[in-house]
Amino acid sequence: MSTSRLRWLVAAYPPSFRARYGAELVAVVEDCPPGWRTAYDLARGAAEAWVRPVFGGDAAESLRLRLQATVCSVFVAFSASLLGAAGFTRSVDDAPVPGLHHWGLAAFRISTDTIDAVAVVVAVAGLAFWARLVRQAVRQRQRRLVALAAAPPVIVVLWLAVSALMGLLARHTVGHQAKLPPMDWWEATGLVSAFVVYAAVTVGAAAGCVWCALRALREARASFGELRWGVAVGVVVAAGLLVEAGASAACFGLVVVYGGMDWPTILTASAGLGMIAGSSVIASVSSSRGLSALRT
Amino acid sequence: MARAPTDPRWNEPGLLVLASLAGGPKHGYAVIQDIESTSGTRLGPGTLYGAIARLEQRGLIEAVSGGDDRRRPYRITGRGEEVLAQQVQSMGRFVTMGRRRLKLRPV
Repeated sequence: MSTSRLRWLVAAYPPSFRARYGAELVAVVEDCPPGWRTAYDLARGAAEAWVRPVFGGDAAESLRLRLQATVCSVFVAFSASLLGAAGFTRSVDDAPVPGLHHWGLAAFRISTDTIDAVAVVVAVAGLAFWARLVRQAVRQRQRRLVALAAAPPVIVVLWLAVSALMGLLARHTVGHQAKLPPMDWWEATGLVSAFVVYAAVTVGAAAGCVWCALRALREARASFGELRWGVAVGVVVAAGLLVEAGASAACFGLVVVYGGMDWPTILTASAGLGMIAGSSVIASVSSSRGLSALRT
Repeated sequence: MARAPTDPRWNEPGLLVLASLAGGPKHGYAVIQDIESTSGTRLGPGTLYGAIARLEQRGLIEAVSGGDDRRRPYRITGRGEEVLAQQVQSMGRFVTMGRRRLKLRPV
């Protein structure tokens, strides 16, 4: 593997690590013999830096970076859980699955109500910070920060426009029938391709929103007080995601036991459930680290 | 002085980095070369900077101010020297015990 490609691996390190050691690490990579062994070492180092983060600087800056990392991680976990929840809910509820009744239905409702409540908490806290960010950026004429703050709403509007177009396309193709009408190979391929493109656009839009929001958070250099509130919100979000993950797992288990799900639906639902469970673990670990940093 | 749970153990890259910096301040690549020449172990850049970040966070080493950002030298701190000395003494006791049990001649 060439040195220029190895430099890309340095970009896989967490932002706080890159800010402190990135230039030195690139210099050492340039001096080391390029190869797969160095690539593996860098990839392993990057993974370890994400799992066991280290924050440089004096004690106050180190604590600020720790809290910022907690807020960023919980936000990413929440965004991923939204995607997972969308996949899980659509696969369980769109059909609807015949096995979804009694306890399974109750668990499903707890799962969807919890993610709705968590989304409201994140939206209120996020909007308060976003308003402060925009005010600061406009006052200080920080064009880059204005662009970063404006990007997520623009992306959401564009995604809604694409969603509306997809809805029109689906209505034109399928109509209001419960089952898909008979299609030839070209029509079926077109429909599946449109769905895959729409799913990719949705994931891309979510990733774009999250990236811009995190970049804005770092560049705005949120104060210790703001980040402390962010960690408090993170704890609420983590607790909500754990409840959502538990309820979704219970719902999934009951639906599988009582039957009514075909294999493609089981795969989609389990992928969504996996994302929700993974997000809840990441949010919980990061929140507990932020809390313990605040205590010390 | 008792060993803290976060201090580097015998087989960790952190101890090799500490031992290398005990010989004088060095930048990243010089540390790799020094460790390779003295112990035969070649640390990769990811392993090296993972160790440097942890040692710096625990106050066992510190960056030497000034100079090129890409070739920033590090030096061992007083606390780092204490930890290294403790580890070396511990290793020394282990080596002495091993030589005695194996009935090897003293070096």
